[in-house]
Amino acid sequence: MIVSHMANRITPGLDTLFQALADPTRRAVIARLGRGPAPVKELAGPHDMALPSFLKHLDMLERSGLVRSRKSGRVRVCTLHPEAFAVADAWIAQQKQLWEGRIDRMAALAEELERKEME
Amino acid sequence: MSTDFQTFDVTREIAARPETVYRTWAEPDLKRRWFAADASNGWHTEGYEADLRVGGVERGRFLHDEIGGFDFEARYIQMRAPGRLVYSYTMATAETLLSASLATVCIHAHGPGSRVIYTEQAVFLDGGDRRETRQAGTADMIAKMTEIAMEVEDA
Repeated sequence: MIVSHMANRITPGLDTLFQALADPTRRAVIARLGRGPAPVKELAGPHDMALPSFLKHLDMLERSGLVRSRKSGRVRVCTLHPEAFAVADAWIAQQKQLWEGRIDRMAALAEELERKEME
Repeated sequence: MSTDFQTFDVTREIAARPETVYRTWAEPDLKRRWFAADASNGWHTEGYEADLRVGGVERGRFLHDEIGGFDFEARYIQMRAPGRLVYSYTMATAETLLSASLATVCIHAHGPGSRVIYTEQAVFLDGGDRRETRQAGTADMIAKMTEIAMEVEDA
């Protein structure tokens, strides 16, 4: 999935959001963060997996824009950013993604026409 | 009621002359082949028709299994071969006008081929208010998105 650059900000596409949500561990993290910010250690606690595996889930959530983290002393604290769900942003990301695909097909067609004309 | 302005562009370099690229935008049979006859990403198009001349209307319904159906209607403002097309278009569901856009397609000669820049300036109307979305219960949104994510995963 290509991250779409627009209007001085980066908006994740629907695919990234769906991907972030399509896993029970990540959904549990979102549900926990829905109640307020939490340190990584606390988030990882209930999950029966090695920390590096858990951090991969967090990384995907951060890439989706849903979760952000910052260092507070020696602790990394995560916060939920539900505005990543904003409909207009998701919509424009979808539109841009559609146009990327369309322009690819348009280019392929123009190149095919050109080749035929040159023959 | 929301009013949200957004702009995006897509640029491609193409190994075909501007005259050829222009044809893919200006001839209905060619435009249909890349714009409306595709089923990628779960999207397909119904009832596509294109009267590609200044003042002419192009329309169709884009359908997606998870996301729903959207009616597209464009009106051509300028068609200047081989360098530029300008059109306005709206997207709507059966109940709601979602967006109105100005689309500009610039086709420049670039080496032996072309460079195409598609720019869309859009105003999103009642498709969703960011502030309201932000203030709405997080749990509700998560439930909804999770439901959609699960459908996508199962598909």
